[in-house]
Amino acid sequence: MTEARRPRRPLGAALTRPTVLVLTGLWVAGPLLPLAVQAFTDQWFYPDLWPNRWSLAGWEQALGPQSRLAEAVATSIGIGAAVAVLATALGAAAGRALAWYRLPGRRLIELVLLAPVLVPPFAVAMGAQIVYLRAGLADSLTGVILAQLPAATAYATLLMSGVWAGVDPALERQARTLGAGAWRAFREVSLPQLRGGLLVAAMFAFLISWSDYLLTLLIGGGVVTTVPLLLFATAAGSGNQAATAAIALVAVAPPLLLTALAARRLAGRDTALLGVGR
Amino acid sequence: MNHRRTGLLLILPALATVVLLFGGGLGYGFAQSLGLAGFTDTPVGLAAYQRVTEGPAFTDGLLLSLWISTVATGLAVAIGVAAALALRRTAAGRRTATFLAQLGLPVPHLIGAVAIGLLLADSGLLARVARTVGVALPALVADPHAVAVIAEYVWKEAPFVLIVVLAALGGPVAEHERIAATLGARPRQVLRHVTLPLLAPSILAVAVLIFAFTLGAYEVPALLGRAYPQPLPVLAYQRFTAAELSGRAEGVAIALLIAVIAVAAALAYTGASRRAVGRVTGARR
Repeated sequence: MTEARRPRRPLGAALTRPTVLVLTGLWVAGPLLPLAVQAFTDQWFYPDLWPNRWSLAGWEQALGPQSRLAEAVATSIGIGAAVAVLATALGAAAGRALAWYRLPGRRLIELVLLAPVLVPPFAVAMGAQIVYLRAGLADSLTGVILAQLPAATAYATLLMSGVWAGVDPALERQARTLGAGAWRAFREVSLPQLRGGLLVAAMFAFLISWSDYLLTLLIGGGVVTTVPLLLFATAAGSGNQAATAAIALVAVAPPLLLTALAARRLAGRDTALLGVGR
Repeated sequence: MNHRRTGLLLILPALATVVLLFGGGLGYGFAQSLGLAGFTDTPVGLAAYQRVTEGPAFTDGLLLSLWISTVATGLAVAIGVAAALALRRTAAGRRTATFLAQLGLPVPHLIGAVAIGLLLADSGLLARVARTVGVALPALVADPHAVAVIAEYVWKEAPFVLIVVLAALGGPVAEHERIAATLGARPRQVLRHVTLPLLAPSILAVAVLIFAFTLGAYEVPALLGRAYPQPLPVLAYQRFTAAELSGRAEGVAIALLIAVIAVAAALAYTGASRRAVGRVTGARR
């Protein structure tokens, strides 16, 4: 705390560093903690500050035969995995082009890739819905994957172009000079250096898909039920707060776990993209 | 193989994905809003735009949307920048804060809305605490000022601002600050004339992203907002799924108007950030 008395503090002595750190932790965790309490009680009457009975009724409802949570988790993971693999592959190739090659119309290309960041994706989904209907892709997993893919690809490309910029092109050229083919030079020289970046890109793409609500609803037509769709329906329609909290906990676990596991690989800039790519 | 062609071949799949699946939907939606395509009984022309913009629902929705996005962006930026400036001095503080903020970033807004709803509802935790201390709270969820919606956005976005600003502070900012201090500037003057203008491009960039995102986000106001007025995304979805056929064109029209406002904000940003940096470094970019 003695640090707080240093004369050159930008915000004055009121905000000391440990205080701000505690506040940051509380800020992030605070609103999520009541979910963990709410999910394990069926009697928490107003104005009690603490539940007077613990119960697993919320979980029984969330996981029981009536609910489709297990199915929704499987659907979400399947769609997320497909989006992650496709977006990462497309993004890795495009990132290499942006970082290493001279491209005609580079500014235009970059602008096109930024469009999904600025334009609300549901504007696109509303316009495209008829096309999906006519192509027989509405209400299908494939349709939802295709609808989520462009935004995920745009983010993966932006991220991978940063990763490629940190890889030296001369190394691949040396491998080529020594007789390696283009594919082998990529696989044995650049790929090992890209591994961390590829994992982060795949994680981002998965999380973008995992969070999506409106695209899935518009293109999946309510037939493709992912975790966000189930959560919204329970939160808005059931009035069952314990079940809502239980589903919310299931939905929040993968993002928290993945980010905690990947935290060491994430540079500040990458994380900024994570903030953009909800 | 030609170098340039290799680059184009590599970027083509990703570009095609965005252009066809994203641009295609956008263009086809624009055609529908003009009555040129799709299942619609809207006459060719601007009829859909006229119909959606003439009623009070649109004006009230637009004002509510702008209110939510402006207040949420302003608060998130103020809190995030203040926290970053307080934490920048030590590497340990920066690392811990970045890790904590990182954890919050990937939490979907829908879950944030559920959590904030449980916290701020009439019978929520905050109301219970307030009653215990003997304070009466006004309604915070589905209230006229969209307090819960704004609270959710600020909760999610302030850590995002914190991370971006902490990263930006790692650049040449410290050097310029030292020079200003050596030349006799007081801490307040350094902050106002050196630090903030140098951070301006990053701050403005996140501000635009937050503004654009909140303007087009559906789940949070759909869950925590009122039935009237509805912010534009909720209005768009409601028109789009309405029983009558003309609603589809009107829904797309509102969605495209949101996109136009978001892109206009981004264009304004580009000009503003160049001017801010130029004032401190003398650089003309």
